[in-house]
Amino acid sequence: MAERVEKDEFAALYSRVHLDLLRYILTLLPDRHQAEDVLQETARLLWQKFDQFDQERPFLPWARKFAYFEVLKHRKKYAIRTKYFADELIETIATERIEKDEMFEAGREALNDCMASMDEKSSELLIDRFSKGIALKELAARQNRTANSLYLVMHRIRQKLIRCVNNKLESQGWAL
Amino acid sequence: MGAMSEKLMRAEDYDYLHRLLSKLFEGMLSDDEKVILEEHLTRYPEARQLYMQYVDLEVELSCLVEAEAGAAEGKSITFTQITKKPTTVLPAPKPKTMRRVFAMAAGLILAMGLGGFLMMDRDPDPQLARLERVEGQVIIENGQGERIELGVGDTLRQNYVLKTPLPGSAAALRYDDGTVVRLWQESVLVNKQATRKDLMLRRGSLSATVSSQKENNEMLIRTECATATVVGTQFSAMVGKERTELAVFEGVIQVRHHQQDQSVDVKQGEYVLIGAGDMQLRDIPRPSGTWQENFDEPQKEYAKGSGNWNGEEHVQPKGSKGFMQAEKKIEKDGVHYTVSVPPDANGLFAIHEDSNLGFNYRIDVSKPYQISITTRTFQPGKPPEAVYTYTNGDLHGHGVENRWVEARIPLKDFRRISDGSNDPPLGDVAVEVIFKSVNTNPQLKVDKVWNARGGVDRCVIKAVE
Repeated sequence: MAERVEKDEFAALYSRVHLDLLRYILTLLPDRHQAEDVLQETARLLWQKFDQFDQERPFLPWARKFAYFEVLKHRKKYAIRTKYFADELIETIATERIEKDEMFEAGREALNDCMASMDEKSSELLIDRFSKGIALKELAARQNRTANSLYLVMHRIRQKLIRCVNNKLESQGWAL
Repeated sequence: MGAMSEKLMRAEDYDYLHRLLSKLFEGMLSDDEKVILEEHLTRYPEARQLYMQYVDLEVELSCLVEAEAGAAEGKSITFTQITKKPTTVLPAPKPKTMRRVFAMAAGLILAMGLGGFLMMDRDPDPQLARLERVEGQVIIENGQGERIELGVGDTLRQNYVLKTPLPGSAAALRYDDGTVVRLWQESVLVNKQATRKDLMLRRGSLSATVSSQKENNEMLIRTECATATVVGTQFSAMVGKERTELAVFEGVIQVRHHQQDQSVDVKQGEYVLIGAGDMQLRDIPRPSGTWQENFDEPQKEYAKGSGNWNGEEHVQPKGSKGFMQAEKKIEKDGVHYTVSVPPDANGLFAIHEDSNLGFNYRIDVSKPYQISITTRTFQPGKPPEAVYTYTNGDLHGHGVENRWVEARIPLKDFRRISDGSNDPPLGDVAVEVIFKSVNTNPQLKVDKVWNARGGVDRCVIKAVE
């Protein structure tokens, strides 16, 4: 019974932070699939060590430490150091991510508004690409175009969204 | 490498960086470009900031959910609000966003000019209802089409149109006399009366627990084709495209068919189907404690024909065996398959303390996966409610092509996700099963689903020979 309660507590805490952890991990390891692997491993570890968690303290910083070391472990295991960023850069990014958390949170709020105002064609493309998980190459083939030309469209959408977010952040007084 | 330097990027570098980051997240970055990107990130703080914004964008985009705009706006695709928390694990209370706070403040100001349309003060009044639960977006409208988003604690009295416009939206209204009306997702409820509980359900579904009402002042629930007179009871009602369903769980309700000017008493344990030309009284089915569907039998009677129920497209998980139908939904946390039966069938099975759910599944892609299962209630005249979910533990691993795996999960390994205040007793209602796969969309395949009683103390996972 006690384990059941503990499991429920863990599930509640983890559900609140799991996207924050994914963002953090993806920042350090910019490959969606690998980041999800690390997130899964981190979740397993967090559950194993949950009895060591001080319930008086916030869960996210505690969980982030595990995520950070899991990323390092993953980099070492798969020699990703040669593929994605040097150790020192990773460390800097990890620190800055936490320092600017509040601004990024505001950015995500703004992003909701920016996405809501997108044209239908772009919305459909993003749904196909992200919600339905269709690979860029496959999407391009379906639309009778090259992957490179579709990448350019995706690039313009991303850029437009980021610029929209930055405009909103600036209007809210954030220094960019 | 030294400390990160603090230089400003040139505008052209900024544009180039956007391109590199787009390529990075599309997996199209060449080795040379990777070196350039790393150099930018090392030198410029604003490059690192932009990089982190792209990371956030990727995660938010991966949370996209496909939703249809309302019928009036046609079939265009829109984005619903993107929540940051998954719904498959314990739902956290939704924080009020600034937008929502502004909407409520605007509502207050608007209400002052609408003659009591929305009242924020509480008076002792049996016709006054307070919103005691709000899920998702809940709004009221006046005749001029002005809309106010509501929150818990707001009160309603008369001349309102209450809407739960989105999937997942719901509201519970508590009157001063203890009566509770729950309006479920995608529903519209109209109240014009000031002196009586006289509610018109235009669309969707509601359920209610009604305290004793005074003689000649009974509660009225109207739909387009019928009116129910309620003295004090528990019931639910659902308005569909072609018919209304009303089920009674306690007491008696009198239902009058408008067109036929005919009345019927619906007693505890009964439900009535009201079509344009007739009313059919039926017993609420008692679901079996055990059930199995092995998908190998010929197509079931109810699954013949178009494969549509109520005009909705239903498909089974691709690669599954047999003909059992399942509803596919793409949501933020993965693809969901609901194995269920159409409304006229007797549901699937009831869950008991010693129930265990079994099923065979296959993940053909060699990727880490996680499957969660949710069971939800199925009652005539009432929308489904999630009651139990199983998310953790053994239902994850790496997919192996062509390998079927058998899972058996006892009820105690399911976690209750509803608050328990409105749950039917175990064994009383039929249950549907929803499978969700994370990471592997859409490679989940399901075969043979069954519910048995006893014999399994813990979750058992094994390969099927």
